[in-house]
Amino acid sequence: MALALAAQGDGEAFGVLYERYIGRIYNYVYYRVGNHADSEDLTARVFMRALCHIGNYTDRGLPFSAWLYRIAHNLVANWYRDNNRRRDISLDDVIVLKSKGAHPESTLLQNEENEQLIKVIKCLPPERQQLLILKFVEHLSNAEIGLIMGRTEGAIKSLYHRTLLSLRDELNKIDISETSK
Amino acid sequence: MNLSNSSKYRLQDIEKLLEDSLLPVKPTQQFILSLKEELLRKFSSSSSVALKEKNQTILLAIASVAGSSILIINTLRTVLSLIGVISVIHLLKQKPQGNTLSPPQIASG
Repeated sequence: MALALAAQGDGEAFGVLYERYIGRIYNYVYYRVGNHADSEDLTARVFMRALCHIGNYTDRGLPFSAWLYRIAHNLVANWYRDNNRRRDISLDDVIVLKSKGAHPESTLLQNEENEQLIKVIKCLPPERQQLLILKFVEHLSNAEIGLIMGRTEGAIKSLYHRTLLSLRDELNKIDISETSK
Repeated sequence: MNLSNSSKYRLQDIEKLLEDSLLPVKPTQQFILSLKEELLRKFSSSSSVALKEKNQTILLAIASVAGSSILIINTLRTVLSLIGVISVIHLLKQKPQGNTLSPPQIASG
Protein backbone atom coordinates (compact mmCIF):
# COMPACT_ATOMS: atom_id res chain seq x y z
CA MET A 1 0.00 0.00 0.00
CA ALA A 2 2.75 2.42 1.04
CA LEU A 3 4.73 1.36 -2.00
CA ALA A 4 1.88 2.10 -4.40
CA LEU A 5 1.31 5.50 -2.81
CA ALA A 6 5.03 6.33 -2.84
CA ALA A 7 5.22 5.40 -6.53
CA GLN A 8 2.38 7.87 -7.16
CA GLY A 9 4.36 10.64 -5.47
CA ASP A 10 3.19 10.46 -1.86
CA GLY A 11 5.99 11.79 0.33
CA GLU A 12 4.62 10.38 3.57
CA ALA A 13 4.36 6.90 2.04
CA PHE A 14 7.98 7.13 0.99
CA GLY A 15 8.81 8.11 4.57
CA VAL A 16 7.12 4.92 5.79
CA LEU A 17 9.17 2.82 3.37
CA TYR A 18 12.31 4.64 4.43
CA GLU A 19 11.74 3.86 8.10
CA ARG A 20 10.98 0.24 7.27
CA TYR A 21 14.17 -0.38 5.32
CA ILE A 22 16.80 2.09 6.55
CA GLY A 23 18.21 -0.31 9.16
CA ARG A 24 18.51 -3.21 6.74
CA ILE A 25 20.14 -1.21 3.99
CA TYR A 26 22.54 0.44 6.43
CA ASN A 27 23.48 -2.97 7.80
CA TYR A 28 24.13 -4.33 4.36
CA VAL A 29 26.25 -1.37 3.30
CA TYR A 30 28.14 -1.35 6.58
CA TYR A 31 29.22 -4.96 6.21
CA ARG A 32 30.34 -4.28 2.63
CA VAL A 33 32.37 -1.11 3.23
CA GLY A 34 33.40 -1.51 6.87
CA ASN A 35 33.02 1.95 8.39
CA HIS A 36 30.21 4.15 9.60
CA ALA A 37 31.08 7.30 7.66
CA ASP A 38 31.01 5.64 4.23
CA SER A 39 28.02 3.53 5.23
CA GLU A 40 26.03 6.66 6.04
CA ASP A 41 27.07 8.30 2.79
CA LEU A 42 26.19 5.27 0.67
CA THR A 43 22.93 4.58 2.52
CA ALA A 44 21.88 8.18 1.89
CA ARG A 45 22.70 7.72 -1.80
CA VAL A 46 20.65 4.51 -1.95
CA PHE A 47 17.54 6.28 -0.68
CA MET A 48 18.17 9.36 -2.84
CA ARG A 49 18.33 7.13 -5.89
CA ALA A 50 15.25 5.23 -4.77
CA LEU A 51 13.42 8.55 -4.35
CA CYS A 52 14.37 9.65 -7.87
CA HIS A 53 13.26 6.39 -9.48
CA ILE A 54 10.33 5.29 -7.33
CA GLY A 55 7.95 6.68 -9.96
CA ASN A 56 9.34 4.20 -12.47
CA TYR A 57 9.18 1.26 -10.05
CA THR A 58 7.11 -1.58 -11.42
CA ASP A 59 5.99 -4.45 -9.24
CA ARG A 60 7.28 -7.64 -10.87
CA GLY A 61 6.48 -9.83 -7.91
CA LEU A 62 9.81 -9.11 -6.20
CA PRO A 63 9.89 -7.65 -2.70
CA PHE A 64 10.63 -3.93 -2.54
CA SER A 65 13.67 -4.68 -0.40
CA ALA A 66 15.18 -6.60 -3.34
CA TRP A 67 15.02 -3.42 -5.40
CA LEU A 68 16.71 -1.44 -2.62
CA TYR A 69 19.40 -4.09 -2.11
CA ARG A 70 20.11 -4.02 -5.86
CA ILE A 71 20.60 -0.26 -5.71
CA ALA A 72 22.84 -0.66 -2.65
CA HIS A 73 24.81 -3.45 -4.32
CA ASN A 74 25.42 -1.31 -7.44
CA LEU A 75 26.42 1.74 -5.42
CA VAL A 76 28.86 -0.25 -3.31
CA ALA A 77 30.36 -1.77 -6.46
CA ASN A 78 30.71 1.73 -7.97
CA TRP A 79 32.20 2.99 -4.72
CA TYR A 80 34.94 0.36 -4.88
CA ARG A 81 35.53 0.89 -8.58
CA ASP A 82 35.50 4.71 -8.62
CA ASN A 83 37.80 5.10 -5.67
CA ASN A 84 39.96 2.14 -6.57
CA ARG A 85 39.63 0.98 -2.99
CA ARG A 86 41.17 -2.22 -1.87
CA ARG A 87 39.02 -4.63 0.06
CA ASP A 88 41.22 -4.82 3.10
CA ILE A 89 38.98 -3.29 5.70
CA SER A 90 40.06 -2.77 9.26
CA LEU A 91 38.70 -5.59 11.37
CA ASP A 92 38.18 -3.23 14.25
CA ASP A 93 35.76 -1.33 12.06
CA VAL A 94 33.75 -4.31 10.93
CA ILE A 95 33.69 -6.79 13.73
CA VAL A 96 30.76 -6.65 16.10
CA LEU A 97 31.60 -8.88 18.96
CA LYS A 98 29.02 -10.46 21.14
CA SER A 99 29.84 -10.27 24.79
CA LYS A 100 28.16 -13.21 26.41
CA GLY A 101 29.09 -12.30 29.94
CA ALA A 102 31.00 -15.54 30.14
CA HIS A 103 34.48 -16.17 31.47
CA PRO A 104 36.91 -13.50 30.15
CA GLU A 105 39.30 -16.14 28.77
CA SER A 106 36.61 -17.92 26.77
CA THR A 107 35.31 -14.56 25.54
CA LEU A 108 38.81 -13.70 24.37
CA LEU A 109 39.11 -17.01 22.49
CA GLN A 110 35.70 -16.48 20.99
CA ASN A 111 36.71 -13.00 19.86
CA GLU A 112 39.89 -14.34 18.29
CA GLU A 113 37.88 -16.89 16.35
CA ASN A 114 35.46 -14.23 15.23
CA GLU A 115 38.31 -12.02 14.09
CA GLN A 116 39.82 -14.88 12.12
CA LEU A 117 36.48 -15.59 10.53
CA ILE A 118 35.91 -11.97 9.55
CA LYS A 119 39.41 -11.86 8.11
CA VAL A 120 38.64 -14.92 5.98
CA ILE A 121 35.24 -13.54 4.94
CA LYS A 122 36.90 -10.34 3.70
CA CYS A 123 39.02 -12.43 1.34
CA LEU A 124 35.96 -14.03 -0.26
CA PRO A 125 34.61 -12.82 -3.61
CA PRO A 126 32.02 -9.99 -3.27
CA GLU A 127 29.05 -12.19 -4.18
CA ARG A 128 29.87 -14.66 -1.42
CA GLN A 129 30.29 -11.84 1.07
CA GLN A 130 26.92 -10.50 -0.05
CA LEU A 131 25.34 -13.91 0.44
CA LEU A 132 26.71 -14.21 4.00
CA ILE A 133 25.56 -10.70 4.93
CA LEU A 134 22.06 -11.31 3.59
CA LYS A 135 21.84 -14.67 5.34
CA PHE A 136 23.38 -13.95 8.72
CA VAL A 137 22.92 -10.22 9.20
CA GLU A 138 19.60 -9.77 7.41
CA HIS A 139 18.33 -13.29 8.16
CA LEU A 140 16.85 -13.68 4.68
CA SER A 141 15.83 -17.03 3.22
CA ASN A 142 17.61 -18.57 0.24
CA ALA A 143 14.62 -17.68 -1.95
CA GLU A 144 14.76 -14.02 -0.91
CA ILE A 145 18.52 -13.90 -1.40
CA GLY A 146 18.02 -15.44 -4.84
CA LEU A 147 15.61 -12.65 -5.78
CA ILE A 148 18.09 -10.01 -4.67
CA MET A 149 21.10 -11.58 -6.32
CA GLY A 150 19.24 -12.59 -9.46
CA ARG A 151 19.77 -16.33 -8.99
CA THR A 152 17.61 -19.32 -8.33
CA GLU A 153 17.06 -20.67 -4.83
CA GLY A 154 19.03 -23.78 -5.77
CA ALA A 155 21.96 -21.73 -7.02
CA ILE A 156 22.03 -19.79 -3.75
CA LYS A 157 21.94 -23.01 -1.75
CA SER A 158 24.84 -24.36 -3.75
CA LEU A 159 26.81 -21.09 -3.48
CA TYR A 160 26.21 -21.06 0.27
CA HIS A 161 27.48 -24.60 0.64
CA ARG A 162 30.61 -23.82 -1.39
CA THR A 163 31.15 -20.69 0.70
CA LEU A 164 30.96 -22.68 3.92
CA LEU A 165 33.42 -25.21 2.54
CA SER A 166 35.92 -22.54 1.54
CA LEU A 167 35.53 -20.84 4.94
CA ARG A 168 36.13 -24.14 6.67
CA ASP A 169 39.21 -24.86 4.57
CA GLU A 170 40.69 -21.42 5.19
CA LEU A 171 40.02 -21.60 8.94
CA ASN A 172 41.51 -25.06 9.13
CA LYS A 173 44.62 -23.80 7.33
CA ILE A 174 44.96 -20.99 9.86
CA ASP A 175 44.36 -23.46 12.68
CA ILE A 176 47.05 -25.82 11.41
CA SER A 177 49.59 -23.03 10.89
CA GLU A 178 48.95 -21.70 14.40
CA THR A 179 49.26 -25.08 16.10
CA SER A 180 52.48 -25.82 14.22
CA LYS A 181 54.13 -22.62 15.54
CA MET B 1 32.92 -23.32 21.91
CA ASN B 2 36.66 -23.40 21.69
CA LEU B 3 37.25 -24.36 18.11
CA SER B 4 40.90 -23.34 17.95
CA ASN B 5 41.88 -26.40 19.91
CA SER B 6 39.91 -28.78 17.69
CA SER B 7 41.77 -30.25 14.73
CA LYS B 8 39.10 -29.50 12.20
CA TYR B 9 36.22 -27.08 11.85
CA ARG B 10 32.97 -28.67 10.87
CA LEU B 11 30.36 -26.92 8.72
CA GLN B 12 28.07 -26.57 11.72
CA ASP B 13 30.88 -24.86 13.62
CA ILE B 14 31.35 -22.41 10.78
CA GLU B 15 27.63 -21.63 10.75
CA LYS B 16 27.67 -21.08 14.50
CA LEU B 17 30.70 -18.80 14.19
CA LEU B 18 28.98 -16.83 11.45
CA GLU B 19 25.92 -16.39 13.65
CA ASP B 20 28.09 -15.13 16.49
CA SER B 21 30.26 -12.86 14.37
CA LEU B 22 27.89 -11.23 11.92
CA LEU B 23 25.61 -9.19 14.13
CA PRO B 24 23.29 -6.43 12.97
CA VAL B 25 24.60 -2.88 13.21
CA LYS B 26 22.21 -0.02 13.81
CA PRO B 27 22.58 3.42 12.26
CA THR B 28 22.47 6.33 14.69
CA GLN B 29 19.10 7.92 15.36
CA GLN B 30 20.55 11.28 14.36
CA PHE B 31 21.53 9.93 10.95
CA ILE B 32 18.09 8.35 10.43
CA LEU B 33 16.29 11.59 11.25
CA SER B 34 18.56 13.89 9.28
CA LEU B 35 18.42 11.70 6.19
CA LYS B 36 14.63 11.48 6.42
CA GLU B 37 14.42 15.26 6.64
CA GLU B 38 16.68 15.64 3.64
CA LEU B 39 14.69 13.09 1.63
CA LEU B 40 11.38 14.76 2.39
CA ARG B 41 12.82 18.16 1.48
CA LYS B 42 14.08 16.80 -1.81
CA PHE B 43 10.76 15.04 -2.39
CA SER B 44 8.76 18.25 -1.92
CA SER B 45 11.12 20.28 -4.12
CA SER B 46 11.05 17.67 -6.87
CA SER B 47 7.24 17.55 -6.60
CA SER B 48 7.01 21.34 -7.02
CA VAL B 49 9.38 21.19 -9.98
CA ALA B 50 7.29 18.40 -11.49
CA LEU B 51 4.13 20.48 -10.95
CA LYS B 52 5.77 23.50 -12.56
CA GLU B 53 6.86 21.41 -15.52
CA LYS B 54 3.35 19.99 -15.84
CA ASN B 55 1.83 23.50 -15.87
CA GLN B 56 4.36 24.63 -18.44
CA THR B 57 3.51 21.66 -20.64
CA ILE B 58 -0.23 22.45 -20.43
CA LEU B 59 0.39 26.14 -21.30
CA LEU B 60 2.59 25.14 -24.20
CA ALA B 61 -0.10 22.79 -25.50
CA ILE B 62 -2.77 25.53 -25.25
CA ALA B 63 -0.51 28.01 -27.05
CA SER B 64 0.20 25.47 -29.79
CA VAL B 65 -3.50 24.77 -30.33
CA ALA B 66 -4.33 28.49 -30.36
CA GLY B 67 -1.50 29.22 -32.82
CA SER B 68 -2.56 26.40 -35.12
CA SER B 69 -6.20 27.59 -35.01
CA ILE B 70 -5.20 31.14 -35.96
CA LEU B 71 -3.09 29.79 -38.81
CA ILE B 72 -5.97 27.68 -40.12
CA ILE B 73 -8.44 30.60 -39.87
CA ASN B 74 -6.06 32.94 -41.68
CA THR B 75 -5.49 30.36 -44.39
CA LEU B 76 -9.25 29.93 -44.84
CA ARG B 77 -9.71 33.69 -45.02
CA THR B 78 -7.02 33.96 -47.66
CA VAL B 79 -8.53 31.14 -49.69
CA LEU B 80 -12.02 32.70 -49.46
CA SER B 81 -10.63 36.08 -50.46
CA LEU B 82 -8.88 34.55 -53.44
CA ILE B 83 -12.07 32.75 -54.47
CA GLY B 84 -13.94 36.07 -54.21
CA VAL B 85 -11.37 37.91 -56.33
CA ILE B 86 -11.38 35.14 -58.94
CA SER B 87 -15.19 35.23 -59.06
CA VAL B 88 -15.22 39.00 -59.58
CA ILE B 89 -12.62 38.74 -62.35
CA HIS B 90 -14.66 35.98 -63.95
CA LEU B 91 -17.85 38.08 -63.82
CA LEU B 92 -16.08 41.12 -65.23
CA LYS B 93 -14.80 38.99 -68.10
CA GLN B 94 -18.25 37.56 -68.78
CA LYS B 95 -20.05 40.96 -69.02
CA PRO B 96 -18.38 42.34 -72.19
CA GLN B 97 -18.71 38.97 -73.92
CA GLY B 98 -22.49 39.00 -73.28
CA ASN B 99 -22.81 42.42 -74.95
CA THR B 100 -21.15 41.22 -78.14
CA LEU B 101 -23.19 38.03 -78.31
CA SER B 102 -26.55 39.76 -78.25
CA PRO B 103 -26.21 43.09 -80.05
CA PRO B 104 -29.27 45.38 -79.93
CA GLN B 105 -31.61 45.10 -82.93
CA ILE B 106 -32.03 48.34 -84.83
CA ALA B 107 -35.30 48.63 -86.55
CA SER B 108 -34.97 49.50 -90.22
CA GLY B 109 -37.34 51.67 -92.10
